[in-house]
Amino acid sequence: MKIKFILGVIIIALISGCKCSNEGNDNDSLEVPDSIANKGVYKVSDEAMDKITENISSPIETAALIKSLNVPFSKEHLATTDYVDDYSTSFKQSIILGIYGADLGYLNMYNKTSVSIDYLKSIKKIANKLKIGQFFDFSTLKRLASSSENIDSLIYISQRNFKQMDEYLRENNRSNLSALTIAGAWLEGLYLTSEVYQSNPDPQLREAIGEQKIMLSNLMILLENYKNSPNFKELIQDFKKIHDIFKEVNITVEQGETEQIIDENGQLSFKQNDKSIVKITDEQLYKIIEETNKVRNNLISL
Amino acid sequence: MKNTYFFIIIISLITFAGINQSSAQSGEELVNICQRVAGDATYLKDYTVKLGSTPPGQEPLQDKQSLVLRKNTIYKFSICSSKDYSGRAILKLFSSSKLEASNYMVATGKIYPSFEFTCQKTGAYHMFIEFEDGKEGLAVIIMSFVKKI
Repeated sequence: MKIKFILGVIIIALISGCKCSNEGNDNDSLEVPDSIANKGVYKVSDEAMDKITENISSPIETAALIKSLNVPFSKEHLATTDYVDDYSTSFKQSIILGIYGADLGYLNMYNKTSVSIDYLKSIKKIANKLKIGQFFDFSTLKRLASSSENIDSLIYISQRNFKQMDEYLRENNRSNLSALTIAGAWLEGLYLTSEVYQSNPDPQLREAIGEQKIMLSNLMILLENYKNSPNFKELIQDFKKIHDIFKEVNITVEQGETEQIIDENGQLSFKQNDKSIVKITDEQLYKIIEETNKVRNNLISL
Repeated sequence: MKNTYFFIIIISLITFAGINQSSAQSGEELVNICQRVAGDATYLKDYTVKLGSTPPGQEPLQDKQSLVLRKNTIYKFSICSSKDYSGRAILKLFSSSKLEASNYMVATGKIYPSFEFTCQKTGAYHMFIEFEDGKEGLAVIIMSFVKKI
């Protein structure tokens, strides 16, 4: 009798131990409704898709470029969070998640922590709707945002959270939603650069817009993978209009030898002497800005 | 008496398993440690690589990762190997087939914990990661942004 009782206690302890280790991931086993499950027809392997996804740069780099040019911050460039509760489809929610993610990067880079709390709240709401909210550590991020001294941690944790959400989507047969989030983030990055360029026509911003041709080519492959889905069809058409203008942009490369440097502190560094040169005409540039504006504003509208 | 021994064995096994679990360095922990190595540079992405030991006489096993780098940007690559494995990670950064950077100096045999790369060409790059002498290893690579030039 005694031994049965002891074994019972051990089994209960083991079960509760397993529960503890899964804390915070309670939604992991949630069933994905058919409406949001992956309906894309796969032509490209998952491995290839992962590589394509990695070849679309982080929106934080765009924000860093803008800040490095000493361009003042403008809240006007950001997508409104007023409609966050009204985005009802997983399609729209995924795109908006990417757009807000890029805006959060811009806010964090400029240390606008009071405004960023509003975006953190909105991202959490959208992530919960998409059943990936367990990866967005809102309480820690909110605490970090409350103190402007923790900006590096805020960027680090928010970027990591986005990565975890993306990985979860891709690992759980919802890579179509991951593709939409990536598309949203990319588009918002281009939109921010375009908006800033119009008030500060810096050659580096001009080049940054032109070189998006490379990222967009990768993004198009990613989106085309889901072309049989009706919502994607429309999105692909919109992105194709931007892509068609980018096709005219010319990017060439001058070859050079990479230099290796070890400084007095023993820090190793490399300086590349290959150089990419972007040739973009005013006409191409303004067509890109106009089309980007149109597509982005259409996507954030209800 | 037999039952008491059985009980002690079970409790010992559970305790031992718990200790093992808490001391093993997970990929996630390694990312957090490596972020400290990255220092002031702004975190962009991380990559976790786990490889088994290479059979004798064969080329070391490698992991390949794709990434995109942008012109006029200084990036920092921090490479952190798990203390739970003997392998130390070697990172080689390629543009097409051209070796651009590595944390391993062939001439001296030294493995650096990080390096900076001044990128002048926007485009796709590839990272090849292997472990020294083909040993088993777990490593995290953190790519971070230093500044625009």
